[in-house]
Amino acid sequence: MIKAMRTAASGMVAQQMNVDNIANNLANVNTTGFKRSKIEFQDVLYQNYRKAGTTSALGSEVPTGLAIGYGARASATSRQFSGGTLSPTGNPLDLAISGDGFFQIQHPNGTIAYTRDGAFKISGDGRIVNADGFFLDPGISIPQDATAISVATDGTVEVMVAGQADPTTVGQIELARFVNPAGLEALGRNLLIATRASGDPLTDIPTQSGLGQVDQGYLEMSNVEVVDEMVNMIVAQRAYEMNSKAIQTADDMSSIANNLKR
Amino acid sequence: MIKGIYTSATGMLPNIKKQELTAHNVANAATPGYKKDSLFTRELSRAEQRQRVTRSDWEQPMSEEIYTDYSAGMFDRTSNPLDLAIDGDGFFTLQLEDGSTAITRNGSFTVNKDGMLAAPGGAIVVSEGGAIEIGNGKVTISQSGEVEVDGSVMGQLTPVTVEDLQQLQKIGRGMFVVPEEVELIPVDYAVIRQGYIESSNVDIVSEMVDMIIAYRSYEANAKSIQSQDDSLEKLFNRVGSRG
Repeated sequence: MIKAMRTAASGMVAQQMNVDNIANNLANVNTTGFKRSKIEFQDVLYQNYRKAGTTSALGSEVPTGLAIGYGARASATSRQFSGGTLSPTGNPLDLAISGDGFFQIQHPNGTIAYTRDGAFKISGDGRIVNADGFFLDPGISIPQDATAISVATDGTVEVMVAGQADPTTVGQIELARFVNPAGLEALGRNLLIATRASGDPLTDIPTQSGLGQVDQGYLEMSNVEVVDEMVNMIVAQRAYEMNSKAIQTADDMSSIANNLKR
Repeated sequence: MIKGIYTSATGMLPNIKKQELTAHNVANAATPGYKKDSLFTRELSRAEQRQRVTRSDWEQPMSEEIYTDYSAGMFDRTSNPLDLAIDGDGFFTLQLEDGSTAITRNGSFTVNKDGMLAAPGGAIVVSEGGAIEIGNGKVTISQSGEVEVDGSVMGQLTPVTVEDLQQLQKIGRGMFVVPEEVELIPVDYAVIRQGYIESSNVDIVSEMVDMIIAYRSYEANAKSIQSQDDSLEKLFNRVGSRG
């Protein structure tokens, strides 16, 4: 009897994590470049009461075994990299990627982090940085006397300098792509880092290697769909409830056994 | 009279297992590729009962068997290029860490450190030509299971099945092992859908009904024990008393 309770409890724990994850998605419904994540579940070990293929008391072979599982557990969170809608901002350093690429950011700890959040700024010393002041990689500096910045779809950054008729090229944005973006690890602050599961990044200039183009003056909105998340929340809540019913039923059955002897 | 108590008690026992199975199914209502289990009891024939080797009062007049329902779950769209679902019969073939073979309907795959297509736990997905190298290219998987990486064919996923699905054994993580003597055969019709995952085939309504039935059957057998106990009590304490 205790086993059914623990099995159902594992289902409740899994659904609780599911709701935690949905809450995080909903909290980020307005976060630029945020990608919703989804929890994946697995069934866990089975206890074999009787193995298939063994010999029964009658001497015949048991055709199907008797194995009862120990419930479920959350096995992974996978990010869904479908594109968010692009929203025009008119800001020359707001960049959106239409395609599979990621911007590369130099994390202060020395590694390269990846992001879809293209809301860039200019630091005090003229370098292009993200909202937290982390440098874009490869680094691009904007001259102090620049009057206008233009970013081409292939990532070429050009500036107009006062007193000059022709624009000057100051840098080239490069994007990275992963075979399994769902395997990237989230660091928070809209940053992701490569893991063994995501594979090594393939870097190139935008529009090449299926990386997609860079659109200046747009930001990519979060891809969280409120309606989907609400439906997922209802499903998770009901699943949680069903598991609690399974625990109650198991408890009631224990109580009946307990009351056999009066 | 006492024999009847044993009979009622053995009627209670399978309901505990039924409840455990229902709890396991409900816990896995959101596990991709999970196939629901149900417990069936079958009355043993007189001949079978006579042939029983051991004799005890606790002989169960029935045999318990688990039946796994292999019907398909619904398809969830994920848009992840390494999420695959099989539309039709069949399973993906995996090679486990210890070299043995398992099959699964959970096609939520990833890439391992060697760049091979793999299940999240580390088992490698195998095709007709062995492991499938993905590297870090762009993956397209056709409906017939042809795996293309950056335009070149890297492997062919062929869903396989077995003659009698009830011979498969669950080992957790959505995987099934095939007994040694059973042969894997290619399926007649199956379409591979890229960007989809097959959800669990557990139906909550029927699980709730199963739970109620197991509970009431358990309760009824318990009541039967109690009324036999009442009769015994009367027999022992009242018959022949001079009150």
